[in-house]
Parts: sequence; C-alpha cells; structure tokens
Amino acid sequence: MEKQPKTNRLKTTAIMHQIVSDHWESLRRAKEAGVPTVWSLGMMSLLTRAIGVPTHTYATYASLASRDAASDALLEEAEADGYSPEGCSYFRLHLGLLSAISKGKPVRDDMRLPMPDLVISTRCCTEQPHIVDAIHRRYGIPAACVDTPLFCGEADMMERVVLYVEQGIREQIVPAIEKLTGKPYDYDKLGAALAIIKQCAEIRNQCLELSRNIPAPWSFFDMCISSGALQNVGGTPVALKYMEQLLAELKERVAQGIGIVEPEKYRLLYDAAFMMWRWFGLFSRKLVQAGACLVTSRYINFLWPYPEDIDPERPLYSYAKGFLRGMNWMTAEEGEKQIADYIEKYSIDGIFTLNARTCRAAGAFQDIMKDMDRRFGVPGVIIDADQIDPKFFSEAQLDIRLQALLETIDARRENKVGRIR
Amino acid sequence: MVRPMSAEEILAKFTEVTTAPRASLSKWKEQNKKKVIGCFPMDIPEEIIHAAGMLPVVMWEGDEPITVGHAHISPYNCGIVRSVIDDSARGNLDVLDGIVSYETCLQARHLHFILKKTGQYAYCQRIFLPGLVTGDAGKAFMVDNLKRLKESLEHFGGQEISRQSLNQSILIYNENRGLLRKLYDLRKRNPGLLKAKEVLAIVHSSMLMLKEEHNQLLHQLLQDLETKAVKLETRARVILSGSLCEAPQRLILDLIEEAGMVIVDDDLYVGSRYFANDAVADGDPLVALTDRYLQRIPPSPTRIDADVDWSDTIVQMVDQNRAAGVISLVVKYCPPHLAYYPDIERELSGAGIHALMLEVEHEVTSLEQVKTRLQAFGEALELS
Repeated sequence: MEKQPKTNRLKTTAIMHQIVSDHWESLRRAKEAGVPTVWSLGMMSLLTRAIGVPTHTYATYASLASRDAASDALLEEAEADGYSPEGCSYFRLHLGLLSAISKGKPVRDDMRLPMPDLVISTRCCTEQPHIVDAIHRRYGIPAACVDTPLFCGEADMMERVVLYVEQGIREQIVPAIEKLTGKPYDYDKLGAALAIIKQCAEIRNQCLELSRNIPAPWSFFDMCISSGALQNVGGTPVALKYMEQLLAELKERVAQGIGIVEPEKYRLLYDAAFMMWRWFGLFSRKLVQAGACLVTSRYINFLWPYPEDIDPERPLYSYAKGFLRGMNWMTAEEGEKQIADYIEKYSIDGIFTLNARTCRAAGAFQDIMKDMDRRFGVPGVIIDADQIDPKFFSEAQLDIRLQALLETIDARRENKVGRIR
Repeated sequence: MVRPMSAEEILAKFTEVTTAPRASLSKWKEQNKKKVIGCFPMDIPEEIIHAAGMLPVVMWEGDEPITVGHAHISPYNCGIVRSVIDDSARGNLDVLDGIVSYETCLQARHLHFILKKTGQYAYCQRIFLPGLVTGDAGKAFMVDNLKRLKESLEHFGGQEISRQSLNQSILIYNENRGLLRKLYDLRKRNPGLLKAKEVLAIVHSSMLMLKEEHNQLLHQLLQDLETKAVKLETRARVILSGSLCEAPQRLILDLIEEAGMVIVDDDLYVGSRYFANDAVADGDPLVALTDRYLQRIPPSPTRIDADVDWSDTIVQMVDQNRAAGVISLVVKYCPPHLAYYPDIERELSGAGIHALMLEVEHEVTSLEQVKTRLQAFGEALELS
C-alpha cells in the first residue's frame, strides 16, 4: 500500500511567527509612545529600520492581514471608498486599512497599524507610486518615491540604472527620512545593517542550494515564512540568529535524508510575483496530500539575491544594486534564463504559476512556460487567483489545475516522454 | 495641378487611416519605400524616429475580438495590450518594421518580450522613461536613454541622426501640435462644428500618418472650418477624460451626442494630451524632448508628479470651458486610471461638477446600458 504523503515541519520556522508578531507589535507600541513609524513599499524598509525607525513592509503586511481571511473586510472598505475590485488588492488592503482607521472603524488587534508618519517606496511595480500618491493626497501623510526602472539585462544599461537609483534614493528618500527624524541620515548604521543582510543572504543562498537535494529539506512555503528574516527584521541580530539556526536544521535534515514532504513524488517550481497569501495553508496542504513539493521559486530571490554585491562601505550604491538584481526588476528575458537554470539545478518536474487577477506582473509567464515545455519537456500550469482577494479564487480550479499538472507529469513518466527524473 | 481637398474629403481620409491603419500604412510603405516603426503609447518621442528617416506611428487597438492573443496574455489585461499582442500573433502588425516600447504600466512591462515571441520585427527596442517626475536625476537618465534610442535607430537605419535633422523633426511635430491646438480652440468656440468622432479621427490620424502630410491636410481643413458660421449650441457642454493609451470607441462618442451633450474639450490621450506641449527646437534636441516629457501639465498617472493633482486640471478645464459635466472613460483593467479615479470623482463632486464614469473595454458587451447611463446623465445635466 502506497504511503500517505505527509509534511515534516521545520522547528526553526515556528519561531518566525513570534518574530513577525513582535515586529508588528513594535509598530503599534512605537506610535503609542509617540515614536514616528514608516510604511515601506518595494524594498525600502531597511533604510529606516537600519536607523531605528519602526517600519512596516508592504507584502508581509498582506500576508499577515490575509490570515484567517481578516483582510476581506479591509478590501471591502476600500471598495466602499470607490476603489475598483480590479485594482491591486495590496493597494486596496492598505487604503482600506487607512480608511477604517481614519473613520474609527474596528480593525482586528493583530492587524491594526497606526497611521504612518511617512511612506517611502520604489517603483518596483508601477502601481506602488499610485498607492503612495493616494495616501499622500487622501491623508496628507508625507511620502517619497524613487524611480526604479526595470533592470535590463543589457550590459550597457545596468551600471547606469544602479547609479540612477542610488542618486534617486539620495535625493528623494533620504531627505524625507531626515525631515522625519530631524537629523542627518546615518549611513554608518545603514552599512552595519547591510553587513548583517549580506551575512543573512549568504546563509539564505546556502539554504536554497540545499533544496537541490532529493528530497528537498524545505519548501517554498518555509522560504516565504523565513523571508521575514530579510524583510520584517532584516539587518538585525535576530535575523542572523534565525538564519543560522535554519541552516543548521536544514543541513541536519539533508544528512539524515529527511524531506519536507515525504514521500516527495513531484518537485515543482513556483513562479509568480508573490504567494497566494490568503490560501497559504490550504495550498500547502493540497500539495502535501499529492506528494508535491514546491522546491524553489524566483520569488524568494527578490530579497538580496547576490550578497556579493553588498558592500557596507558603499551603502546606498550596494542597496540599489542589491535589490535591483532581484525578481521584481528582472526583465522577462532574464527571468526565462533563470527558470531554465532552476529546472536543471533543482531537478524540476513541473511549473506552477499564479496569474493574479489584480496584479498584471505575470505578463510573460504564458510564453515562458511554453518555452520550458518545448525545451525541457517540463509542463506547467497557471492558476487564475489572487494574492489575497477571495472574489478571484476558486478552490475547485486550484484542485483541477494541480491535478492536471501532476497527471501530465505522471503520463510523461509512464510514456517516457519529456523530462524524466 | 492637384485640386485642394475639401473638408469632407480630408475628414474621410483621416477616418480611413484610423479605421484601417494596416492597409493605410502598407500603401504608404509601398509608395515611399521607408520603414515604419510602431511606438507603444503614450510617450515615446516619435521625433527621433522621424529624424532617422522612418515613419513613427502610435500602436493602435484593433477592432477584432482577441483570439490567439490570449495564448500569450491573460484576459485581465487592458484592451490595447491584448489587442497589440493578438495582432502581433496573427501577423497583423507585419506592416511594422520595428517596435519601440517602454514600461508605460505593469501590463506593458513585458510587452517587448512577448512581441519578440509573437512576431518577426527587424528592430525591437525597449527604452526607459522615468515613471516619476523627480528632478535632475530623472532628467539626466532620460537623456541618456534617448541617446541610446537614437544610436540604435542610427544603427538600424544606417544613417546618422544629426542635431539639425532632429531639431527639424521637432519643428514639424511642433507645427502639428500647434495645428491640433488650433483645432481644439476652434471647437471650444464652436462646439458643434465637428462631430466628436471627426475630432477623434483628426487627432488619431496624426498618430498614424507622416506628420508633414498631416500638417498639410490640417492646414487646409482649418482654413475651411474657420469660414464656417458659429452655430448656437444649446446642448449640455461636457468634458471627456481618460481613455489612457487607447482611442475611445466611436460608438460611444456618437451615443454621447445622441444623448443631448456636446464635447467642448477633452483630457484624452488620443486628444489634448497628445499635443499638449511643444519641445524647444533650438538647443540639444534630446534635452528638449526630455523636458517635454517631464512637463507637469497635463499630469499623467504613468509619469507621476506628487505636486500636481490630476483632479485639479480637470476642474480647471471644466471652468475654462463652462462645461456642465465630465465623462470619464476608464479602460477596463487600467490600474493607473483606477488608482486615481475615486479621488477625481470626489474632487469633481466637491466642486459641484456632475461626473459620469464609463468603464470601456475592448469587447463591447452592453451598449444599451451605456446608452441608458448617458441618457440619464444628459438629462441630469439639462435639469441642472
């Protein structure tokens, strides 16, 4: 009788829940103590966190707020304010939160945030400056944004883009922070935080490498949870300690041949600009039941993918280069190359892609997946859903498409066509 | 001697160009033996392509249903992105020798990649335009990028683009913009002079024709129109706003007029936004084109300037034109417009201006509903 697949949870990731909860609580406590807080979008959070300003992070707030479907009420709040459900759900979530706070409407304790004193953003996605602009216009909250072009793989442009973004951060973001704190920006503190980020990213990359093992010792879900170490508490000793503990646990697992999913029947690549946060647990359980493991993803690489680029002695330059080489600024051409590399490197059987209804970042996935099937015989499937908005999610669709992907892999294995592991 | 064309003939020519761009461009190419380069909306500086001896055209939304395009992009994207990809996959853009695109918005981010997968274009260039108006850094970066575009066009076209030829192209484009502004001034004074779809055809054809030819026809048309008597206009005066990147559907313009309204001015991309500002033609042309792009008015949600409020400029346009209301055409799945519309509506309402939002999409699903809403809006304006 075939063994029922199960998951072997990591001990380390359980710690992250408390770390992240503490982070959000620190924002609430700061405000109560009269300390200013900052909202950050698109990789700007380290700039303020490094100098001791309690800072929110955009995507991780969405993951927090969508737990137990709590974000639904805030999405509705934004829609009641006139925002179309077709617009970015992260955008609506944050505008909904501000609307609720300003109107004195109840917001669940663990997702309540104070009104920020400053909002800072990149143009990581072209819609982020829109939310910054809306917050500034509606609530009079100071805001600063830096233009961050798509980081082209063309050699003649790369250095120019980094210098442009470095100058932009210096001219747009730093003065806004200095105005908030009332003192000159402390680049030494940024350098020190970047030194920790560099260490953490190096460890993270070692952890990612371990996923080449069969079975993989951890999955994309664990990677998402662990990303809190490079986001919510990135650049702090707490983060470093977490990453060291994680690496040790993963190494131990590899030595003992323990996989996160057991038995690991399918090794999948998840490719999207984010996770389906609201259905994180559901999705994870469905995969485990099928014996499928999301072995890796380009998504996790949006956080400081190349630690060798980080030079604490050139903090702003490294900062810009460090995030620009991540997934969010990657051209589709570069993304395609990376996926092809991952297929080989991580022994991928299939690709699972999220086409988020309210985020148009997925523009090139269809062509990339066709190419991967043609070149490597690796099938892919797209699910139409959303990062957090339940209006655009269907569990039945998830079931059917996941089943279709796994059956395709089975059929190819049986008929010895395509990529056989 | 060639007989000057009548106003009716010129308008018929403009309409033909806009309703069948592929056929019109094929004919032009055959006659002129020159390359045609498609520019994805909204802000590629066409002057550089013109100075390279090629014909720049603004890429258009086809009127056929999207079919094979959906194998490359999801249906949750705006009409023009899907239509361009669909046309490319079906070979309908074969008239274009090249394409220049930039990250207008998230949907256009990977257009360059998808078009290379779906069509065979001898020249495919992605350029970088600042998404934010942010002072000196953005300006220097854009100048460098335009220099890069210029060099790639020189390489593709096999001829140098001199400062003089680029300034000459800027002058030709300025002339066109000036003539279109003159047309709009004429419409403000005499709103019923032309049908809305005729005004649209005039502006849209400018995006699809050689500017010298368009200028010549526009001169003739304006001469003719200026002699027409001013008609007493009793219909409710409205401003049309939005329709970013796309030409509004002619059917909707007809319905607005049938519902007892007349358009006195607009804030449309295929409208006043296209010809709003000139570039200076006596200095460094790349700096001049950059300065034109970074002009703060009209504000654009794809070129964000936190110090300028889009709503204010619409309210100002209403006041200047003594308009009674604003009809916003919001392209379905257009996040830049969706992000700003609630505040625009709130500001208009606060200023006591009637506002109607019509969500428009590539696939016209219910024209009757649009008609009913326009009739109700027209009646509300009359009562006010």
